[in-house]
Amino acid sequence: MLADHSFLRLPVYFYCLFSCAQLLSGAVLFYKKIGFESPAVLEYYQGSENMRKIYPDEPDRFIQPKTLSGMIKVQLGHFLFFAFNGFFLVHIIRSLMPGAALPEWMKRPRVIDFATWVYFTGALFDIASGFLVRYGPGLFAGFRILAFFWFVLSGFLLAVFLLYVLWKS
Amino acid sequence: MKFLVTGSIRSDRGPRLIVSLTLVGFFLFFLAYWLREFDAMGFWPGRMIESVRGIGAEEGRSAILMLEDLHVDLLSHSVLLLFLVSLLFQLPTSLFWKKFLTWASFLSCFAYILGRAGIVLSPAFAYLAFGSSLTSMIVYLVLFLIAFRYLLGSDAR
Repeated sequence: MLADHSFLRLPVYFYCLFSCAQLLSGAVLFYKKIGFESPAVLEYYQGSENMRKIYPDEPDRFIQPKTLSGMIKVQLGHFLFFAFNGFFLVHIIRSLMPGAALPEWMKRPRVIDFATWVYFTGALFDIASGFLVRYGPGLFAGFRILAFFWFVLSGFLLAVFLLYVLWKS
Repeated sequence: MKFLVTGSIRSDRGPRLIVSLTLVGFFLFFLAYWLREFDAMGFWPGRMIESVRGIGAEEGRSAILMLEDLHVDLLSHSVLLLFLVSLLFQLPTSLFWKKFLTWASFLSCFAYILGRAGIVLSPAFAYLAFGSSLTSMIVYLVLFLIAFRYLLGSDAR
């Protein structure tokens, strides 16, 4: 589609840039609101009291545990973005790949299928890990951080790869 | 999504109804968004600065809240502009105006979202936010008007 209608490349370029900016702002928000350390993640979801049972040396900031309805409210927008963003980026990449000047191994369907699985698995883990930390054992706090970086990096790489494919096609 | 390139959105067999109704939904979002912005932030730079940085005993908005707004708006506007600009491709306007409107819409929107958040760092960003909000609103209105006119105009058959 985009190969024959060069005008549509422009909004796709912009969308990729907006997507990267959004992932970056999400990373900053995660750092500022939650933090990249297990005690901080545990405190954010389970509250200060539960956190200090596992990490008694940490200061008590009197934070209350997150409620289920509050967590679902936050995830509503994330469900929409994760799904739409993944669909759009992969769909455009797939449509441009055949005509792009890329190495043959990159054009194999299994490569983009693998990238698709990595992205959507990262998205699922990112959402699920929050609930696991809140309602499961404290050890899921580390998994929450891992899942977050997994999703952000996979989304960023997908957007950058689309920019690269656009440039090469 | 072939209708985006086949030019069939106005035909009876094309997705004219769904595209028109989607456009109505997006237009309602556009109206609600700017009404909310004017209510929360104000229209003039001075009012924007007061609402973000506070005045006297009145507290402003935290950097985290401004960053959250930025985070949400990047998604909503990127999707909306992607749809509108894709429709623009099919409209009977010159390529120059299509590219101009595409650049103007994305850049003004991005400038407003960043400028509004930047007020936390410096009041000078309020002037960027003010100018880009005006530009963004005008460009959005132009995009909606020409899309509606094309889809629903009397020569649509």
